[in-house]
Amino acid sequence: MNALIIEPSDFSPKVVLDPTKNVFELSGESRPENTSKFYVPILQWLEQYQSVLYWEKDKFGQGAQRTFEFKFDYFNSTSAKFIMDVLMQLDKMAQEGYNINAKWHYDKRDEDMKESGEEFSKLLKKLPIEFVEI
Amino acid sequence: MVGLLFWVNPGNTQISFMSKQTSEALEIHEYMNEKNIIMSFMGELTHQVTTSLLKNLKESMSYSNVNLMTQKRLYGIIVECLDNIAKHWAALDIQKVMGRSSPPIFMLSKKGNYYYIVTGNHVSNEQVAALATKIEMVNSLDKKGLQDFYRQTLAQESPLDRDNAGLGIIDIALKSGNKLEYEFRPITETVSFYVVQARILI
Repeated sequence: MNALIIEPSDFSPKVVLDPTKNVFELSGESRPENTSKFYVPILQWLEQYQSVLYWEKDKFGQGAQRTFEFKFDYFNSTSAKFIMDVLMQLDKMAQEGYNINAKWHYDKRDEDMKESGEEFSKLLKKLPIEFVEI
Repeated sequence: MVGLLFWVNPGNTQISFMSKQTSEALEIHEYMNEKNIIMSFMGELTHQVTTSLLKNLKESMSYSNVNLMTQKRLYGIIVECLDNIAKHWAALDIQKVMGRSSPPIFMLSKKGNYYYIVTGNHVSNEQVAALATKIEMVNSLDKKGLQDFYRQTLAQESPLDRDNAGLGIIDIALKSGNKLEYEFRPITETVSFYVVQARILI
């Protein structure tokens, strides 16, 4: 499956979803002009990736651990809804038994970013989230 | 539109002569100084304009001695306020209802130990009740209540509501840590001028 790489801008995060390198990361600032236009391809990519994992598991058994890293400096409230969708999608994959986990990075001076991650995690059923202070 | 006033001295004109524009510029300048206005913008808030205002703000904040958490909260409040007025602006054809253009205004000022973020824009009277209810609702909640409300909204919001300001106002209240102040001033039978003020302790 092809990687999805989006370079960052002043208002949109860097996206790296690269199964070959086993790197999955969203980082930077998120307040895109059209939030849905930015996040829908990411959600679609994840849906496809779930099919790939299903096929892999069927053929080779459970694969390696996949860690999705969230390293936001800032996201606006409209982005929050889509970040929730991304986490929900990952949660769905975790519920179906794939080796998926998440890491929520936050600046140690930014208690709000930590709390946002905690709020998100309260809405998830299975996805393990590790909080990483930087 | 934003007041960009240029004073060009045509060679032999005496410097002591003050054009109307110059005195207006000076008046605005003195007014802004007196009111401790750090940043003010009146005009159409396109994403590009918002981005340039925010970049400017971020840069000037980075040189200040304000702690990072307050800087980030202030930044977040401003983003949500600007997003909100951009949405209201899009929802109301002001030219049609008032017969003239009347862009929104945004102001950031510093008084005492607080930053004040004020926005003003026209809204249709049909929007007034819903906007007031939402603000009263967030004003009635403490931090824990706001967090719960935020989470519920996050979980419930259907994809169709994506562009409606739901989380925005809760986010502003959470980051501000103070009650929001607001006023609707009737302008015509169908339109009011809506002012919201958030403040944050420096």
